[in-house]
Amino acid sequence: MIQLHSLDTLKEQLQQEYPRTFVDNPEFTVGLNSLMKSGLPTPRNEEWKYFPLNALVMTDYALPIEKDGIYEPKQFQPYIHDAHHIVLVNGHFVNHQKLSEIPGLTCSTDHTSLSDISSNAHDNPFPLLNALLHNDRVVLQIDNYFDHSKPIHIIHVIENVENTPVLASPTISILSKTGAKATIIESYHVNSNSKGLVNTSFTVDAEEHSEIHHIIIQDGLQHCAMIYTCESTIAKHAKVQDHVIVHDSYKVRNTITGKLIEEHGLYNVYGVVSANEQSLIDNHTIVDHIAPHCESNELFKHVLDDSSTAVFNGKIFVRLDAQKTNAYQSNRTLLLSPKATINTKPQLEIFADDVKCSHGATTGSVDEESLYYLQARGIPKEVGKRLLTDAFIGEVIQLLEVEELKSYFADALLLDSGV
Amino acid sequence: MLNITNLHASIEDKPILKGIDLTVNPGEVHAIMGPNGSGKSTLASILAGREDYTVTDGNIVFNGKDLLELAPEERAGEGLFLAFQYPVEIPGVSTANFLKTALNEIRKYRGQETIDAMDFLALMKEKAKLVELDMSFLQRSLNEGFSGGEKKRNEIFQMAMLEPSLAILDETDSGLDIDALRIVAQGVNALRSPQNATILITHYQRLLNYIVPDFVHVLYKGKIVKTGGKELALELEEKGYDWLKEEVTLS
Repeated sequence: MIQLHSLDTLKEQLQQEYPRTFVDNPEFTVGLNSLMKSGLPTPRNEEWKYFPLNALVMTDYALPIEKDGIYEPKQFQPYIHDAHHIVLVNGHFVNHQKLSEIPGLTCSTDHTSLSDISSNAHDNPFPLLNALLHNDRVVLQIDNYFDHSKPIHIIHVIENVENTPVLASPTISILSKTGAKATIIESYHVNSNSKGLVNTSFTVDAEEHSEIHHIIIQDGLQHCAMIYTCESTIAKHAKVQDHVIVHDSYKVRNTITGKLIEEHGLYNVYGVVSANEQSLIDNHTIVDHIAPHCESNELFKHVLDDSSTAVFNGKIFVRLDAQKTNAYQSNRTLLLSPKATINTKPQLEIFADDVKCSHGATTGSVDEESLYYLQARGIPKEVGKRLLTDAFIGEVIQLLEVEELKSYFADALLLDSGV
Repeated sequence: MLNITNLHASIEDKPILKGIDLTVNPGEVHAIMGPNGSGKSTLASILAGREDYTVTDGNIVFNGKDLLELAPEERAGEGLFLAFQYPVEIPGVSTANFLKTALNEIRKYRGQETIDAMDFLALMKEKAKLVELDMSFLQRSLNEGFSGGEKKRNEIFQMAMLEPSLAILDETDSGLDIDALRIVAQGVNALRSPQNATILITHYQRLLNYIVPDFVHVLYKGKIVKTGGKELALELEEKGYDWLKEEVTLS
């Protein structure tokens, strides 16, 4: 059993839990010391201002234990029918024999290098916490002869450990080799209303001329909070697209970063958030233009009902050398209830002088004039609201590029917003 | 078909309509004319069911039902149609999708079966021809980026699709060039039948050269001050509204 509210206690607990690791791996002590130094963020930290952690850190968690058993991908909400499946249970990789037979896809496990991720611990210590608590990092290497027409679907199964909320720390790294292409769908499935905290760390390394389309589905996380960190590094002529869908989930914090480190890279980051009741959905994105001649596009849309709250913080950095950058950002919110809240903050820091950057944020309710027009044509108010909400989120759903997901979420998001 | 009796209405306690009586029978075309601010568009909005207005007195019976008791979509279900003076732009909703939803909701209201995709497409093709609307238009977002003339043609196209028994055209002629006016009028005339009726709300006599009314009413300061045949429109065109205003002041 571990708690996060006192890192001193956590250290003792880890020494008890993993006595061997401290002896075998000197990095572990270094990493733990970095975490102790940075501490977990408080609301005084600007990056975590709207995402209070107190309830999460006061909970007693169990660490996952490796379990025998077969997890058939079919037993979970599949979203799509035809995909290569990879199953992780509470972050533990469940080996799937068939994976080794797929040309161009290599799946292995190793340990995260703790020294690599200690540097950014102040603003986001969760990848470090993840690395200290998890056992395996799943590494997917994709080569240029991988057939990208079939998506790779990573299924995260989350379940209680002996009736105690679990603290799961899935870790996944994608290595996209030169010229490789793949669509990677990641989804979370909470077994029988299990509680807990999922702290995922996901990285993408896109080599030259490779393309990764990464879809993150956070759907039905009703009792399980999620802190999700994703960082992509984009090389010359490579393209990465992160697309996050948050639906029917109560407490989610995403920190999504794209680093354009070489010329002619493209990074797209899209999000659609549908929230209701008391839920809190916080999206922080960081688009980092380091090299010149790169492009980034960002679009986040929120549909918020009841007393839900969403946060959008979109940082775009254009470094001194990143001339001829094109960077676009847009955040739009539809409020379906007078009690719903959005805190939106575009944050552009531009150091180069020959760049094109734009950003925009809009917030509004369903347009009464449009509703009346629809009514005058025989369309009842509720159906009209549905049509207008559909049109609003349709723009982001269309960018999914996976037909089955498009139709699934077009319907699901509408049902969720109660229209 | 439509009986308006002693209709009084106001917006934010300011009286706009001050006792309107109007009867429209099947097969008739009524033109309602009048200077700016006389209450023409208010009358149209009240008939369609816009919530901004308060009816303070009088009643409206449409096909035997108390119109004021019905929600706007129910009025459409009963066969009433308003061609908007300023049609709304709705990004992300295609004209085709919008009309299919509208048509099926109206059918549902009437207890009819929904239309299948093939029949709907055929119907759209037929009606689009009537107002010389290109089919590619119908896949575009509703009215988004349409010119003034295109918006008005789209209104008549919608009217053709929904086949109302009573159509109210609110200043459909405003902002139209002569070709667009001809196309709009052609659409309206093609839809005329002994079973349905039309109310044209207009500033100018011009539209009435193309759509010949059976009755012309002049609305002034919230009342119908004069009713006549189509020749009244010509008289107004020639003399303006001033002589009528004087007549009203004298009486």
